[in-house]
Amino acid sequence: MKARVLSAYICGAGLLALVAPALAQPDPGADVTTADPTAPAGTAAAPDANADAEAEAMALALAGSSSEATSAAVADTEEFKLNIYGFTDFTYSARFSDFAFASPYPAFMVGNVNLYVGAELGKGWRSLTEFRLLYSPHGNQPLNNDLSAGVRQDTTVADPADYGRPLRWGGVEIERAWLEYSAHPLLTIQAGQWLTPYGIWNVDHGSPVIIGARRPFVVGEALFPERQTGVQLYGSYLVGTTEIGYHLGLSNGRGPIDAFADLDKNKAFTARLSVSNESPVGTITLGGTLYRGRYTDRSLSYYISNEGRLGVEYIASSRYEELGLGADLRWIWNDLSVQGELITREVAYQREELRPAALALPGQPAGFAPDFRSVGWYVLGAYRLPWYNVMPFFGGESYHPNNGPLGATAAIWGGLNVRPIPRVTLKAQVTHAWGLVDEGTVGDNYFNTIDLQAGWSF
Amino acid sequence: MATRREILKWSVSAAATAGLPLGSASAEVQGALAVVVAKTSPIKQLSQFELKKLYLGSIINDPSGERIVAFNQAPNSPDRVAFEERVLGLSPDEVSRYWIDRKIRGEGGAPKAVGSVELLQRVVSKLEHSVAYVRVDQVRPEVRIVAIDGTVPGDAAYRLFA
Repeated sequence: MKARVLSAYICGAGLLALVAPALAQPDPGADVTTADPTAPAGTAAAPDANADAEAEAMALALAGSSSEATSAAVADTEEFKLNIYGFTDFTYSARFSDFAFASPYPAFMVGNVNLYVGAELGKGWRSLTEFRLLYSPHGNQPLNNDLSAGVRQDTTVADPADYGRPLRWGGVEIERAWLEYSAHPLLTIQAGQWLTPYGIWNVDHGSPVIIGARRPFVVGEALFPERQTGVQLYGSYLVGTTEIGYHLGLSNGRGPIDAFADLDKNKAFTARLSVSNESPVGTITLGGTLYRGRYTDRSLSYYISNEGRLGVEYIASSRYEELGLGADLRWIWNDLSVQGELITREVAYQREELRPAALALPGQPAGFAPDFRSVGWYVLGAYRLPWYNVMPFFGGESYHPNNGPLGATAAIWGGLNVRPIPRVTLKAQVTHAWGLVDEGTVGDNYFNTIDLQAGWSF
Repeated sequence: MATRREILKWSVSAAATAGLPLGSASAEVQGALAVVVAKTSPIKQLSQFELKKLYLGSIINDPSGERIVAFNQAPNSPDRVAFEERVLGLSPDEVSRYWIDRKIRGEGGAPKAVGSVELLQRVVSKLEHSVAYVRVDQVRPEVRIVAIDGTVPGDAAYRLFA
């Protein structure tokens, strides 16, 4: 018995020893302090030579990527530090109208569990990978073209670590994975998978950062690809109190497997220009983004030629050209924040045989999907009150897909965003959307919902 | 005839250049935060906007084309709080939120902090492309003060006070 108590104490002490340094770490969001606080700080009593040596060592360890000597130190495996952090959100959603396309059942949901792994590699090199951990594909229930529901996916397997009891495994989505090199304020080269630098919301991206509990509908519709795989250059230049920034990207563009393959020889092009000015009335940032690309889907087929040789052909099953244009405005003046985005997307099918069939709704004739132009915008205003970091927000949006069964929609939303501490964001949002479908097609053509969300970064 | 401010400015500049302690300077000057660089640094001056962008994570190069490395004082130290309020226009909570949000966007992290003001300056003196800030009366001989928007501590237009 005594031995058991003793071993419990030892285990407890061991755990405490492991946990204590982690608890003692300073808030990395507030700062990345790498100086050893216990090290002698070169006080007047210490000899100058010692203080200099210490400063030299610290300069090498702290300075990041500025010089050859420093880079050598940072690149050294003993100095190398991997930065692991992330965010999670937890949401309760309830619908208050008879809108058929949203679940009538209120539910709790862990929506995003995102992990970041970043590293300063030295000499201006930096890498970042962001993973989203998913419960999917478990539970996915696809909608077939004939509007029938597909079979719900079930990933339940026997857990080998627990007598074969049921285990539901989920997936991982790679949100971005890139390596970049900063050569100059005017030129950083980034290669890999990156978030398309359009507008504000797509780059803000994480639930603790964005003000509302839901993305504006037009942002969720991805009129620009949410992320692309390729190379982008970006940089900025200061003129007085104005910063001019740019992004230029070349990528696989949008495609069914664009993260790792391009199914045509056409590369997509993205360009963004932004101007940010600081004046007594705050900081105003104006941006414009263009995306031009070709979507192609192909299937792989093997064949045997007349000469008896094995061949492979890639048969196109879908192709369209697309042009995305976006404009954004953000105005931050003390605790007031106003932002808005206008986004358009044009889709043109160049080959009639690759034009997809239109979704046939009851009472409507079958046919083919037309070329279309989708347009949407949102405006959001928010003000951070001096009490408890409470930020009321209010916004509106409109979206005209001009494609598929969804008609023109509009919505207004508002709520509270509270950051009791910098790492925790609590949100409550009420949304009223209307004109979602042609009246009479499915239930109400309006949609009321409330979302309560806690987002936290770690 | 030289005004009081001109005399203060001259004494601060002369003392900083000569590496003399500023313990005898007036309370007004002692309360100022000086932006310091290594004696051999090519950085002669910065605009307050450049300083703000630098401490908010932007890449700023010095006249020699090298990237400037910014160093902070310890989190929540009075001088750092004052610097961030004066230069960045942000409270400590807002600074925390700023860096958390920036990291989630995938952008770079905050400038590194060095706990001791003396060690901070010794580190800066070893890296000629780095900057830090300290109270004028704490400026050490191995660093020198750079002008912000063309002004140095003691100038009437100087705005960085702790």
